Amino acid sequence: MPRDPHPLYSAARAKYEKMVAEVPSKKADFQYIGKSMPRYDALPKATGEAKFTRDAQLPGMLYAKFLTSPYAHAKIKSIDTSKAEALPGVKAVLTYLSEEKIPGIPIPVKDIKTPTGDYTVGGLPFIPQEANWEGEFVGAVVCAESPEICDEALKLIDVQWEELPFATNVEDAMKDPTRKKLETGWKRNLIVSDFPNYKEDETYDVDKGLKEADVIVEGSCRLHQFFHAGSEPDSALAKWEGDELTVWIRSVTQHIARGSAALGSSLGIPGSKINMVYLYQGGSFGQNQLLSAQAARLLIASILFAKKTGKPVKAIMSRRDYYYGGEAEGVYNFKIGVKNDGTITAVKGEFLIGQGAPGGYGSLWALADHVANWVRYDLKCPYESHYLSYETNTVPKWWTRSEQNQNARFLQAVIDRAADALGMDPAEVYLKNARMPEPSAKAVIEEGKKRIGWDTKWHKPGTKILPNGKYHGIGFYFGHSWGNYASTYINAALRVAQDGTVTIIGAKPDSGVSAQTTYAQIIADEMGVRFEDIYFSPTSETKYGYALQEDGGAASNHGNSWAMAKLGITARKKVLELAAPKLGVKPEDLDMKDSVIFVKADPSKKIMLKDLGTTFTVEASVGGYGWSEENVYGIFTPFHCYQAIFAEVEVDPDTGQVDVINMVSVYDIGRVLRRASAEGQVYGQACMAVWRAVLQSDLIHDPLTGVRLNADLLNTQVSTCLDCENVDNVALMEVGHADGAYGNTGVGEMNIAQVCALISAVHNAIGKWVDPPITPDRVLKALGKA
Amino acid sequence: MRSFIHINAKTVDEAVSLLTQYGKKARVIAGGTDLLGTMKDEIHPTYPEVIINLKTIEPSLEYIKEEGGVLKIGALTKLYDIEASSLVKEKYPALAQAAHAVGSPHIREMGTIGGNLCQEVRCWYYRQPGNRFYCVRKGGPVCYAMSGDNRYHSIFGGPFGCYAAHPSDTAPALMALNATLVTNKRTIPIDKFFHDLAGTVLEDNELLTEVQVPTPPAGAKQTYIKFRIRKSIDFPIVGVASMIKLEAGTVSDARIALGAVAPKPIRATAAEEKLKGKTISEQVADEVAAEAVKGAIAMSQNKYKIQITKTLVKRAILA
Repeated sequence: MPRDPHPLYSAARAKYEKMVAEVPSKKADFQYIGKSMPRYDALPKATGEAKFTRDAQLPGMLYAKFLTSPYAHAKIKSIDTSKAEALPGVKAVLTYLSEEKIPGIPIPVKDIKTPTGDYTVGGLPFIPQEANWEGEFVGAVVCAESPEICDEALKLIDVQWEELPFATNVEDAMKDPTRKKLETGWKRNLIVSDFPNYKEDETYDVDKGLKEADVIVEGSCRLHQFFHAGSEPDSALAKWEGDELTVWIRSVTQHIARGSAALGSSLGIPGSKINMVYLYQGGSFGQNQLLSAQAARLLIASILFAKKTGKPVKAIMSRRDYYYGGEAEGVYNFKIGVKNDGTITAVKGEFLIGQGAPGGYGSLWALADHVANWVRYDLKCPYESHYLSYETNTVPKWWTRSEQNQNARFLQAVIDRAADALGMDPAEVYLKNARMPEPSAKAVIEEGKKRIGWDTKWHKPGTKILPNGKYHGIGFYFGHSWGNYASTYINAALRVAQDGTVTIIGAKPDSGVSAQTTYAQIIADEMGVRFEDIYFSPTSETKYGYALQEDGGAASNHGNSWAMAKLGITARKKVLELAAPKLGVKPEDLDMKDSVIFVKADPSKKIMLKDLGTTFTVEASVGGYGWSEENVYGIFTPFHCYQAIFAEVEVDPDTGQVDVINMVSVYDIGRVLRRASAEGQVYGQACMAVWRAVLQSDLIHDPLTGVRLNADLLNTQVSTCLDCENVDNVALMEVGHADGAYGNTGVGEMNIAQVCALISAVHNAIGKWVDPPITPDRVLKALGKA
Repeated sequence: MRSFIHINAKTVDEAVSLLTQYGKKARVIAGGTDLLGTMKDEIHPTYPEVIINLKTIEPSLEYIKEEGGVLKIGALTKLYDIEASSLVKEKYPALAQAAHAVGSPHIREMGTIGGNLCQEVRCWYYRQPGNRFYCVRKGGPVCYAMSGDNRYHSIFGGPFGCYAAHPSDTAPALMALNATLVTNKRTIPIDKFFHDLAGTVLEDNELLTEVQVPTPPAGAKQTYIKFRIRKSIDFPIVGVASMIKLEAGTVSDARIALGAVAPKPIRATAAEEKLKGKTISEQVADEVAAEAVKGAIAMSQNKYKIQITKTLVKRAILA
């Protein structure tokens, strides 16, 4: 029996439908939407002309650098900076003991805390006395004429350390009863009554489900801690003019509309006097939320020193400093009940998470909510989870690409292990047990199967040896984005100039695959202007008050599509009103295409937009729209991006090497806005997955000291194009209807489905379960050869 | 990066005289792909005061030629030029394969054969920035890899307690090819060139100027096989080079060299002896491969390197 929709759902649904009425949704005949117009950032990035925050230079600029902890956990007993201060070229040194108040900043230096915001633990000391991971900024920060002098000065600081016990992984953390942890869990799973409305399943009974099973599968698997190694290490440049502060910052690519206020609050200065400038930005894969503790420290240092010295100051991280953040470590224990026909009757899960040190994503609770929460939507059977998250003495964690990677990995293990226990095709077991929305799920799975030849290629694990002596394996995973929601109030503007050019105005960091170009394509279609007459700068600043949606990463796609649609439609209406008297007709008699306004009944009567000789600006605001408005955890999000991944590998049984020979990624994203951008996101996910799955991608710590051993680009083996030759079989489908203005949804915030498909494929090859990264040592160990 | 004095040497004599003058305070630079990284990370307790540039030496040390049945390669010859040389590809394919296996195209267009032989070992303790681990190789008390994370370390630890891995691809190939190395002072057989702790036997004022490779004997087959995790660009987990001479179907001579399994490239002499006089078969290759790793001792995390070494030796024999 269908149940009554949740009242929140009804309210959100009504609002959504009102918006749909305002904007023509999913029109078929667009000139630009769905195409791949040239990226605004292509030439600047290809030629090196693009200036990143790291490149920013101002006359008389000074530099700042932090002392970093050589220990995984240590407290400073005493500090002497006199030698550093005496070094020629050093302008100032601040320490955790500094009681001074910098002019204009009402809080003593030692009491300044990092800003608090969505997804970011704030309130940590700007200059801590105690370091919780090797490499954490601690004790002191210096300002000097050059980065080299900063380095020399840091070496001259005399520190007496008290080393403290540490744990860099979950197992070690669990041995320490005093370690901070969070314990929670879920006792009910959710079911869909009338999709997309979820209800708690009142017939839930895990123990009964386990009793009904023919086979009980118990096991354990893991996901390793991983850092994305983005291209641009953090830096921040600050300049004061009177009490107006301008900061050039690399670190914030999401929540930018809130950055100034949050930063102002932490310093006791009005956010209205802070302008944040975003130049070109290196990839951060969802990590750069409001401000991490490390990035905040960098930013605050540049601000304080700039005020103190009266000069612009750039605070910088080294490449090694930049190895913070990334994916948390997860160990998952599971008990699965399954019937002989492949029906899973119940699942019990235990999540053990190594959360890293404070200063990353939200809190232990926030991650727990995300991690243990979501599997319950995906399984039809009763599901129960127990969750333990530990603080560990390693880098603070966020996630990479999606916060749902832990769930995705767990779910893959459940399906794959159940299938394995019965000798069944995992795709079949998946279809039988997962709660999947139609028609998207079947569409992407069918397309993927066809593309890879699943029905003829799948075999029982460990049974196919190729003529080259290697094991053949093929794997599958179905995934989806999780809870794309839009909670930011989007406020954007469009300026039409008398020369007929159009400028999109709205702070938008350089994240995604040139989203600016995507948005310009929408304006071109909705307004009826030539694409080449539109510009949306890849760089921006916040002082004009306009800012686009950035929350939730990929949510920006559908959130901003509404704003762009509204801008285009409003501007077009205005243009037609201005042109009507000139052409002697009513506005409704006019149309505009390719920047030419013409009379619909007689297209020979026309006027060029530029010949109107007018200048005006229109605005569009979109806020809290859509079905997910009232619940940021996306319970009402009607449509995600759905993905089916199929992967083939060859495993050399004598060296343990895994070659990825084929990968098919099929995504239903409702509507493609800019094809190359969407395909680029998927291809990027596939390339990163090769790295995460089969290359050295674990962040490795020395067991005796907790020092990060591979915090560099050589020893974290980022996959290059040559390592990903066969993973570009990407299909974008437009089957479902998402909640963007054109039925679109984002494609960037996808979980580790490709990694999961590779884990599955390796198992299919050798008949053994190997946790990622599936490096030769692990494969050979699984095969009993090492 | 800290500042240093940079001097362009115009001749080998001048470079040597500068080395004599500055001693351990000086380092020579050719491609710089290894040296600059070590300086940027300040991995050593001391920092070089003087960098002597060898690229300005005239006549240039960048050449490939054959004289009197000997292949002569100037120490400053770029790895890319070696892999692309038709002479090397035709008569010394193991060397061409090894040069091609180094780094990436960009690195091979900068890095030189001399630098590839004289580069420092790979060990993430030894190379940790800021001299974080003052290990036995630097004069310290212990090898941190022994009780640490040693997944990439040696399975043939050195006699001085260092378990770093020597990463050169060209060294095992040149060892299999029985090369000799010419310095401003002497000619050194490649088997005697490397040192477990010091890297090479070069003295402070000694400069590698030329690599000489004799013409492989008729009927000899040669190969270099590199195993690495990331195939596009990486140092070897294991590298195996071989030159096997066959007469009437029987192995009359064999040279097998192993890279990245010890703090210096090494010969698998017992395996070579076992192979001599045999007819090559899968079973013989298996036995010889097992012999090649007989003395290997795994640490806590690198046992898999023994299996890979065995596999590569077998494949080199059967190649």
